[in-house]
Amino acid sequence: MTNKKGKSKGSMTLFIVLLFAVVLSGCASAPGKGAIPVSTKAIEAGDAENGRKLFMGYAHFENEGPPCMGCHSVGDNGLLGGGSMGPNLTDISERLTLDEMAFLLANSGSEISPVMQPIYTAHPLTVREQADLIAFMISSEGQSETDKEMIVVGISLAGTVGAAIALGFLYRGRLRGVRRPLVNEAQKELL
Amino acid sequence: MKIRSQTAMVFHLDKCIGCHTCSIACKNIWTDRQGAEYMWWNNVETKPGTGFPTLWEDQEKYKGGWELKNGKVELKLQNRLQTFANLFSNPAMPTMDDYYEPWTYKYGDLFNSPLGDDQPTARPISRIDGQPIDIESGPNWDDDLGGSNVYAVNDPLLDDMSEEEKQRLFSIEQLFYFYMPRICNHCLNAGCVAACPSGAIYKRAEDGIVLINQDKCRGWRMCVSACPYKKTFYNWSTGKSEKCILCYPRLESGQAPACFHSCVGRIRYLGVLLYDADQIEAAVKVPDEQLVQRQREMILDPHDPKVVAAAKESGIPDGVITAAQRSPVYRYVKEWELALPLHPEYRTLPMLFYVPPLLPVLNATQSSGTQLVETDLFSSLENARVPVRYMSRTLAAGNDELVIKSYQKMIAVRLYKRAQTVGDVTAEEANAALAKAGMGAEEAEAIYHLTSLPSYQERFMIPPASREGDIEETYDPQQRKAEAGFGRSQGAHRGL
Repeated sequence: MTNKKGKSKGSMTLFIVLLFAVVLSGCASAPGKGAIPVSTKAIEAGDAENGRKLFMGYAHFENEGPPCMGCHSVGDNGLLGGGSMGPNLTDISERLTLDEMAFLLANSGSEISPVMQPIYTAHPLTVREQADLIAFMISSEGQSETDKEMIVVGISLAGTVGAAIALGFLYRGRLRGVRRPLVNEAQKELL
Repeated sequence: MKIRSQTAMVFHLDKCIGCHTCSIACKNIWTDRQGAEYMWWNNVETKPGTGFPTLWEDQEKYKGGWELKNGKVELKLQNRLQTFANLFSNPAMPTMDDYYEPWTYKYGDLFNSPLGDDQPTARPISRIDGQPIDIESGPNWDDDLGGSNVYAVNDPLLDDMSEEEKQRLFSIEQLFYFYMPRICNHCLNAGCVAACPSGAIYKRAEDGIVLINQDKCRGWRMCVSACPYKKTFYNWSTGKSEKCILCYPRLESGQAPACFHSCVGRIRYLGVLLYDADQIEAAVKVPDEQLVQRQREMILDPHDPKVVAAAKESGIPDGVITAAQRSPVYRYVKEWELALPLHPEYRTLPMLFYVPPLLPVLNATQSSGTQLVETDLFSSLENARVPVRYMSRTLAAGNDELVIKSYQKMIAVRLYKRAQTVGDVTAEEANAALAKAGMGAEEAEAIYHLTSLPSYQERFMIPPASREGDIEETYDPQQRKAEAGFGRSQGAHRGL
């Protein structure tokens, strides 16, 4: 009885291990793992205007990756600027070579961003999209790096104060006692 | 006809001596728990005065009760959308100062203070945060202060009087005041029930007692505002609202509620009324001056065989019908038309009725110091200290006739008995008064008996009731009382 149970347990473990192996190998061979980096030559054909749209999220990435602006800012694009989690990319083409930029965007090669890797592994950028984005970032070189964080803070503060004033007015009669004013009034008359 | 039974009440204000025994009886039984210290399910107010909580009758401030708007009756507090918008910030709440900050004294200091040159004192401390406080007000702070320049002159019911009229009213020897004991009115059209967003408040089907389910209450406190009598209270310790339960555990075991039982002046009467629930909507839609009459019409004659048959059909047990036939409340409210509801203009159809106070009994003083009975009694009522207008605004939504009629009867009964026992009034005068009040000697005798000589059983005609079943008896009631409200994790099972 014990023997039989042990045997069935063993075969179950084996099955699970096999299952994992199949799943992992499937992942490894999936096209999502590390897209093909765009070649330096192809970058020249990149469309900076389309790159801007992709960057700011006006256009969708083919594999449904999130737009870059969620974490990065470039120049003075966007009313409130982009996210501040990633570095500002205005002068990125001065700091990195074209190849390095391509490696980062493709999640393969010598340069891989530990933050972008998990995000874009399942949603890789196509060669064309990489070319457009790099073209956009080259074109933005030399623009002023305007910091728009203070605008966001300012709007939040103004909104909070505005809401407090509006609610204060709306509920101005709330929790106003009536007894103490009666007493004060009577005391005033006596004086 | 959908007949229901209601355990209703009459308070005879002419007999109230303002001793607060009722309030203390109630407090000792129900509200000496943490979070309930400030609650007075029963309180006694001096009128004119601002009452408890301060200015509770000012519905422009507290938004209690119902309003007749374009032929529809709506809560004054808010509609459904406003309920949602104000859910987290009910704008019409009384503050703690309007009730009062409950306090106790540091009695321990009297015994434990170190030896010193001065006597130790017991300083007052707040029962909310335990810090020393200056006591500024209490639940009956204006007790007996009928002429106080803070509380009495600010009575909302005097707002249609000019300054001169007020001064005359409050001048020495013209001053009047009377006591108004108040508990939950257990209304037929209760504002608290309608305003509760959680549906936690309900009116018991068998006797009409309005209760708050402590398991369902979420503490939104809409009932606190919506009750025009300010008789639901928020317990800051349990986070739930509580109110007078008309001592239903006592009623179910055949005893009068504690405040009724302990009443020194024996002003309180309790009994069953049978009413037609189909008429509720029509009864609250009539103009102010007809409200009392319409409410009386809803109350049905329990001696009428048709009503009895309909009541049986509606499932009212025979014992309750018998109790209704012997109800002292029915006699005061419907048969004699002596008792009137408190502020019927709030349109909640309150089921607690007041016999107006007759002040003063005698109002002419001879030079020898003895008092003289006015012979033309009715003119004496018009000249009496208590303005009929004030009473009609309190008890009849401004309809003077109803109050005058009630007073005429009371004066007639007095004269009738005086002619019999004292002899300073002739039989003719007494008969003239009876005729003026439109009543016979038999009725006068009956009113006299139930007013002056009623036995316990005559005052309290408590209907038979089945007790709440399935109550978890795992807690000692004294321990439960100290800990929280009246919640239980197991629903009560009921049935007659």
